[in-house]
Amino acid sequence: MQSMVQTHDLAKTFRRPDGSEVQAVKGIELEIHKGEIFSLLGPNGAGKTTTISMISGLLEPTRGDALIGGHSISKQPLQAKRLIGVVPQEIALYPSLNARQNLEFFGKMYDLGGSVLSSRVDEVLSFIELTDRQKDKVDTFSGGMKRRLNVGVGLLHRPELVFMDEPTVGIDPQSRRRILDTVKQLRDEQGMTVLYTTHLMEEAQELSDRVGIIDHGEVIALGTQGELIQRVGEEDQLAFTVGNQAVAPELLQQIRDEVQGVTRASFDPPGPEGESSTNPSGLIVIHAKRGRKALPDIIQITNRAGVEIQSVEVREPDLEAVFLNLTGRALRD
Amino acid sequence: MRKILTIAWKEIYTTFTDRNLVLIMVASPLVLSTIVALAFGGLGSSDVPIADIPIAVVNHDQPGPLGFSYGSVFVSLLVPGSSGSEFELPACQLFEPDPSGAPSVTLFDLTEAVEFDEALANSLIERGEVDFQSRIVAEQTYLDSVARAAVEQGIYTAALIIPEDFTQRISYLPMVHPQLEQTRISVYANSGSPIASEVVRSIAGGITNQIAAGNIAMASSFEELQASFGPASLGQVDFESAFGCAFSPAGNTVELDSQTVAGSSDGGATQGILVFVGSAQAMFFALFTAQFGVLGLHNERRQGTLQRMVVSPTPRSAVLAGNFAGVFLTVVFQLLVLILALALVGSVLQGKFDFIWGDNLLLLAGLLLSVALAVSGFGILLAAIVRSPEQGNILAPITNMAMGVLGGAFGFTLPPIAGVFSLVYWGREAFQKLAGGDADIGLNLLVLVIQGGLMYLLGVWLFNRRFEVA
Repeated sequence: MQSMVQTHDLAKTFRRPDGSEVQAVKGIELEIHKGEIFSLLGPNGAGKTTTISMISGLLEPTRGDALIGGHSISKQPLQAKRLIGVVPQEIALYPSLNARQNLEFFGKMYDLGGSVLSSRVDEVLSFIELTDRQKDKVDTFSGGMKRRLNVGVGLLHRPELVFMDEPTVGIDPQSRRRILDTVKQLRDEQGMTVLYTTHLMEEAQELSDRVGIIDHGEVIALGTQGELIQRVGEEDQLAFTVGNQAVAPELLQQIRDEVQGVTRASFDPPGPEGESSTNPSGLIVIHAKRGRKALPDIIQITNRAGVEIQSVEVREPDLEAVFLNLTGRALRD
Repeated sequence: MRKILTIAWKEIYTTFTDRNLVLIMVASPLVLSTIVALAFGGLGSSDVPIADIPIAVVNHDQPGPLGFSYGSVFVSLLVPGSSGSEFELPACQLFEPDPSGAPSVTLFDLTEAVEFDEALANSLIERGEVDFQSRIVAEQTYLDSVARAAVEQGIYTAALIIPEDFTQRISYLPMVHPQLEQTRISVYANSGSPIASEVVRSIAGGITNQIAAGNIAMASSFEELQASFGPASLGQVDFESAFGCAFSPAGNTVELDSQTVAGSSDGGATQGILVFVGSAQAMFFALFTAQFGVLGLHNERRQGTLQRMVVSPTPRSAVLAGNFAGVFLTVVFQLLVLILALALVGSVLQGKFDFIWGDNLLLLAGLLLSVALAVSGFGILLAAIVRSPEQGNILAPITNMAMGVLGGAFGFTLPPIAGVFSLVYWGREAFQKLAGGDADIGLNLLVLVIQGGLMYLLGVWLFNRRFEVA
């Protein structure tokens, strides 16, 4: 597979006002293939934005380098930057200019001009569905419209590689859906490579061909979702709510013995009555491979034992679980 | 280059489409200058020509060795037919009247002077026009004090106090008093009429120098006569005529030294003040424009647009150059608009078209560019020194106020030694000179360009070193 981005020992150290140093990124080795959506997943402060800033030429690395389409971002910045489109985390637009003027201005920064610029602007306005608002000043736009224009500016020069730094932060679900669809469209219809950073596991899961999990400035896991999940096992977690009913240990043993694929079964009794508790109802927790297939057998056995199941939740293995497994912390911690 | 111009154009466009900003940049200095001009120049300035400057002349001078008083000559030059004067200025027969018949402008026309004696002082106090409590003072101090109080209360624009030993000090008599000594004529001027006060100071200096020069010339001639033809020859000299020709207004020997201060000879006080305050105010507000234009880079960093430019294939140096070029052109445009608008205001007040900035448009354009360079250089330097727009918002008004005060943006001037530290001073002085038809602004241009260029380079260097984009 052809490589679009390659980083070698990419590192950044910041100096605090008190003179002490903080290592934001610690020698990252990454390879992003042409035409893929690569997500950099990690909690806030993990080093995602610093990494993107170095790869896009905004920040000078303390050590190491990044190659963009074979061009070093340190040694051949202008060639490398021509291949990149950046969609920053914040709305980076001129509020006193209208949508078209913003696109035209940034288009000129990418050496576009004349009729080419004009047709690209029309194209992008149509793509982000803002053609009818092109003459309106940006400060009259809703948050979602600004986000779309923010994305549009990054796509104007038809880059081969698009960096999207948490582009859905702080927007409504409808606009968020539109942006996620746009990202998929860029890969599927235009063959662009997308480096997408997020702290939302759901977005990374939905979009990514491959995922890099970053924490404390280091990539701690890298691969397809399937590969990452395999690293923590492929067991589903089934949670049965049973209210105040008692659950005998024999029942749990019977489930373990008789239902195929079940590896663990435990009972979490309800908290004391009248006290505020995170667990007001009793919970049978079962870990099983192919959990949905095991579900009917488990319900049958509990019914036979006289335990009435009030609700069932099936939790399939996900990137959140991977992160939890690797760091001992949830992504949102 | 194309990208630099694109960034510069964006700066200009965003600045001039911001209504509030334009209001501050253009309307504020225009309105302030007009108000000051109307307040201190008088409404309908054409009715208040510079010739009407009211002056009180207090003459304490005593006659010298030859029996006459140069102080009286001084009074005679300013107050025709002054009653208290012991010396009546004789007519000069040597000067032919102007064949064109054009009236010559003399000091009599410039001023409306009165000889301020005890009778006048008493009558002012009795009429209640001057509030003066302490009359128990020596005569000299009393007269000076009342004259000064009359100036403070706006009855006179200025009071000229001629000292007792005026004649004694400036008489040049080879046998008796062979050396001239420094003397002092005190000028108490009303700070509310800066232009008129400047005129009075200029006239006083002009007359004093003329008296001293005439005195030396006559004494030298007498010596020459005596040496060549003997003492008897002096008896044939018509002293009065010679004396009259040395100081007669008909000879225009002290004609309008102060014209460059007040503006063109046919302009009114309002026009003069418009030039004075208007040019200084324009530069004062241009300083803010330049500083906040460069500080805008900090805001661009906050809103992420600066980073967006930097991640494009645009060199960082081009981003900075584009911003600085934008600031420079914005200031040029602001100054141009203000200069034209002030000329329009001047014409409206005058009731006829009058381009108050003089007719040397080439020099005016050069001056405008030099001022813009100096002002934007100062802005870049300040923006490079501060760490944030908030720091800039505190520092800019302080430095600009200092520049404005030193340069005369508020209608009064400080001693030139203080003013030279302000680029507003150098710019304002050059605008005034051009307005008065004086093209000698080379030094001003040089100072502005060097000052601006150095600050520009230092600012760019500092900015490049200290400013972090990410």
